[in-house]
Amino acid sequence: MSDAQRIANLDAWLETMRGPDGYGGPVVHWWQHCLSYTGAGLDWRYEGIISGYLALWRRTGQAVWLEKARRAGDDLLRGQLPSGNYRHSNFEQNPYSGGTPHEAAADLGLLRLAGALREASQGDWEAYERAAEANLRCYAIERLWDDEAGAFRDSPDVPSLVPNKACTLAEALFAWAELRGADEPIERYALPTLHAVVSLQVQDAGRLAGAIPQNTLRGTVVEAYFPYYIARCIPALLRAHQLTGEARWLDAATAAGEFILRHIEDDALPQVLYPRGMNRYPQWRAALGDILRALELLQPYGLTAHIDGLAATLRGACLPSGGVATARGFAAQISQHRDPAAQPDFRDPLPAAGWVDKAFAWLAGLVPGGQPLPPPQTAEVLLDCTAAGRPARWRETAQEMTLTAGGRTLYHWRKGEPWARVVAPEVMAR
Amino acid sequence: MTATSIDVTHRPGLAYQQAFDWLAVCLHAADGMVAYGAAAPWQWLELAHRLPHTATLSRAPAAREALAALGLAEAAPASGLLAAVGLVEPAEVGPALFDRLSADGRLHVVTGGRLARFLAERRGSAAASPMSARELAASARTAGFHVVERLGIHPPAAVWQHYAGEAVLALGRRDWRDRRHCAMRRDFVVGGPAASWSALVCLTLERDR
Repeated sequence: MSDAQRIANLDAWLETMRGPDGYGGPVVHWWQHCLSYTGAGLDWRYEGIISGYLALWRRTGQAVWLEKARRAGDDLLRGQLPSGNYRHSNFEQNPYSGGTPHEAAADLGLLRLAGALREASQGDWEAYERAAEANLRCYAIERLWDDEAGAFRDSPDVPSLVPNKACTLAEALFAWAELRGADEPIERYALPTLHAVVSLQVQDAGRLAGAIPQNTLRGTVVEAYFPYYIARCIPALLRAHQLTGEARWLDAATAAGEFILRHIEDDALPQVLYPRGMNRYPQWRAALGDILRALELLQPYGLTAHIDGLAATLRGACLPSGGVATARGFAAQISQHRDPAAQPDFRDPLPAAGWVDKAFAWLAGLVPGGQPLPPPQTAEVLLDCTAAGRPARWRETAQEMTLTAGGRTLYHWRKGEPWARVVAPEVMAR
Repeated sequence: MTATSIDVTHRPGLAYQQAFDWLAVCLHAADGMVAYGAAAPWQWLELAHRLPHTATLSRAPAAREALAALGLAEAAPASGLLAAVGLVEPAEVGPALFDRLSADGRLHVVTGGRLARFLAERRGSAAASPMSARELAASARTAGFHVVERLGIHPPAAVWQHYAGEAVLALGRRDWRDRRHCAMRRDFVVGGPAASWSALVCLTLERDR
């Protein structure tokens, strides 16, 4: 199957995930799941969805993709609260507002959209810029900025720094500054924040060299190193290098990329490494789009990245429905012993809009230029799996997602609805 | 942007998040008119996040304020017979409430279990004492209702996993700690008799036949 076909199918799948307020659906994640709330999540999925549609517009020259990016931007405008936050912006913790890095990622999507509309001489671009600015000013700067630390907190009330989230925020600030022709967001907020991030990067030689820890909490470093989140730091560091010409940002980005490359095994990456030990599973599949994008960004600077294996893993995760499987190995999350011959846990194939968008954004950049996409070719997904360790069956159609076991329905979501209709206790884990 | 005294980014602990999700799924799946009620202002905000267009049992200023903070208008209070009612930590459940349910209507209630005193939201709270699950079931019996489903949120097994995780973290094994954390999440909801030993208990009640 060609990447153009994959993207056509992905677009068709994304359409099935739309409800009245935007792109919805269940979420599975390392930290926790959100299977009950299935309404629109105005979170980081909008970064990938908008970026993907803008890439398609640029590659194919077809206006329909710019309109789809605009429609996604309109979801965010409609869902912006009086506080400047976005409704239901917490992804795996939905339905809550104030999600990090989710609101900054949504801002980034809006700012890219505003830039594209301005480029296309469409006069209403400022509405999208204003919405992003309101969120950045009223939430990020007013509530999350820590003057003493010179960086953005993860929570207004707790001294904390989460590098990948701070980097997404820095990316949004770069995009805002670029659109407005202003230096203040860069000089006053973005660069100091990135300085705080880089100061945490592991400098010692060894298996963690170049890694960036997941977070600090009240000044204490939490020594967990997630390759995926480290990859999400790279675009902001590279942008800082491009804007300032300073080598330290490129060095940090390159070291982070080398850390990721060192830990590729079986065309996948472990979930998280620690000074002692590792939790390999679940291994992301759809989210590899962000990692591939980050590694590709480093290639012009001399990083030799053999990414064909990771790319094959992502492509191999594309489902007949058009969606992309989230992971491999959820069943081994606690034991960390995976039987490759065993049926997958139902969370593995479950496509979540906020993971699929990563694959969508990356694949959209690979579509042949100047050609329209082929018609979508999608079909229902029906596969044997496990749920809570027991045999089960997963089914996804354009209308619903269903998990059954032993004649019982364990999970049922009618696409477009804000809540699942059945969430059995066995799968109720948040 | 409009200033408001309500922090829309506030989240309660995981047990309440799970319980409110359960309530939302129950009301969403009901076939017919539904309504909800809550005790404390923060609970109204939780329900406004989840059920922005669902009717309330009565007009409550806290509900109106929560919805306004989310940029939404208040739905009209429910009238007529209801297919389902959701309640959060009621201080009492009188006959008038049961009379509002249709013949096959269901009452879904979030209430405290035996570990409720460990919930951060229950400490130092000025809220009225909510009914326990046992008191609620007894009250329902006198109105001709019985419990058809009982779920416990944050049961002892999950508490054990949490402390096991803290213990291995003290040994320097954050990897093991994170596995226990995932196990805690796995064990977070329990059905059957063990439910009453949890922090929160979710009850579904139906009319006796």
